[in-house]
Amino acid sequence: MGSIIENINDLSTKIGDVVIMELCGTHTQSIAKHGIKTIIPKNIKLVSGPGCPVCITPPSEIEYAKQIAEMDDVILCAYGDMANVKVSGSSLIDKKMDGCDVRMVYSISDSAEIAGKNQDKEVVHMAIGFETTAPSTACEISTVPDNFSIINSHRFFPPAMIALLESGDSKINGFICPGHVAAIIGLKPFQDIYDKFNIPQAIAGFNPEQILKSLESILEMIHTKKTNVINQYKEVVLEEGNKIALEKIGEVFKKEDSNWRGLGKIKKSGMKFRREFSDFDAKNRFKPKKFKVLEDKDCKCGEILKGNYSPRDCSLFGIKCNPENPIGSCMVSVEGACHNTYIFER
Amino acid sequence: MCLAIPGEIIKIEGNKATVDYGGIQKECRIDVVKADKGDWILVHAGYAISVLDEKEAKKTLELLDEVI
Repeated sequence: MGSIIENINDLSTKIGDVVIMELCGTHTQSIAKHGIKTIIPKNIKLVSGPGCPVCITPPSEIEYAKQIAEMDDVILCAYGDMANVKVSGSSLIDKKMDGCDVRMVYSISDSAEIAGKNQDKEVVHMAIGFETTAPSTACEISTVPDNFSIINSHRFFPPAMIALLESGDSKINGFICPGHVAAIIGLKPFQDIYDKFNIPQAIAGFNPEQILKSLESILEMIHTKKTNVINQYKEVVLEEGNKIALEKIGEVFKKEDSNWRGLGKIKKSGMKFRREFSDFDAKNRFKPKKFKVLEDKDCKCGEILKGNYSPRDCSLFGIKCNPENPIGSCMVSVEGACHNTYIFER
Repeated sequence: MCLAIPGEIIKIEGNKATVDYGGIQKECRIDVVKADKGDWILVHAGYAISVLDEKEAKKTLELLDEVI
């Protein structure tokens, strides 16, 4: 057995052109930062999928957050990059510059602390993220003060994989699966996708060596036609996942259909608050005003999130749209496909 | 967004742990993991999501020496 790189090179000569999709924004970032595309054979194409929560949050939810930020006596808290995504010409950061009280937080615990210290104001936390982040919201919600509410943009991830595979135009031959989502949900949801679609998958860690090892195992599966789900992140991911976290998610959320940027409505991918927690749903405190989202028609974020387009296929890339002046969410987020292509692969 | 940072638990008080990240210490919540002082955990958005398996981590490190 040769080195991982030697094996990848060897396997590539036996399998023809293949498309492998990475499903976590942290993978996208690591692949670009470490130049992985430059050291693997040309017939192995890596594309980014809908694994960046900032990128897949639909414009309507950002517009709603902006509306809330504009209200009097409200503090709007959001995770880093989420605040930079422009919808209809402005972002939450733009609202902050206009004088609205918008704050960047690292954890929902930070937002809850802000609520505790500002009892005379309503504190609204914009909660994004997949199963990795949802347990923090589920735990925090039982202890937050009454002046705290949540814009719930959490989503279950596996339904997006199914939506991609059922879309009909999918050219994906294998998935590099998100290691930290898997740490929570375990192997079964990926196994179920394998049972239905017979697609090779490797659960991957995030350093370049771990990603290459996962890629090697996917290529091996394609070559031998012995498809499966291989866990290449065993130091973190247990077969059964994190049972306590899954129970907390189940206690607080139930499944509902949900919109994703680019992918549209995906069945049972949304995390709706169960009735006993609905008081903390921002939508029950602040009714959204009617609005029309204005988006640049040339922005290809939607197709990029499905792996159908590369960032360079977008006419805005690098010229009208760049990290200094991002048009679409995939350029805003440090985990976005466009951002990473611009910074590391231009 | 799903980035998680490994660190060693140096103190536990209820559902909070003080975690050492190679010299920087910060509190996190440990509601969804069973962890003890001295364990290495992965922390995402202020919450531990997983306890690292030392044996598997060492195996991975050995494997990763064989990349090139």
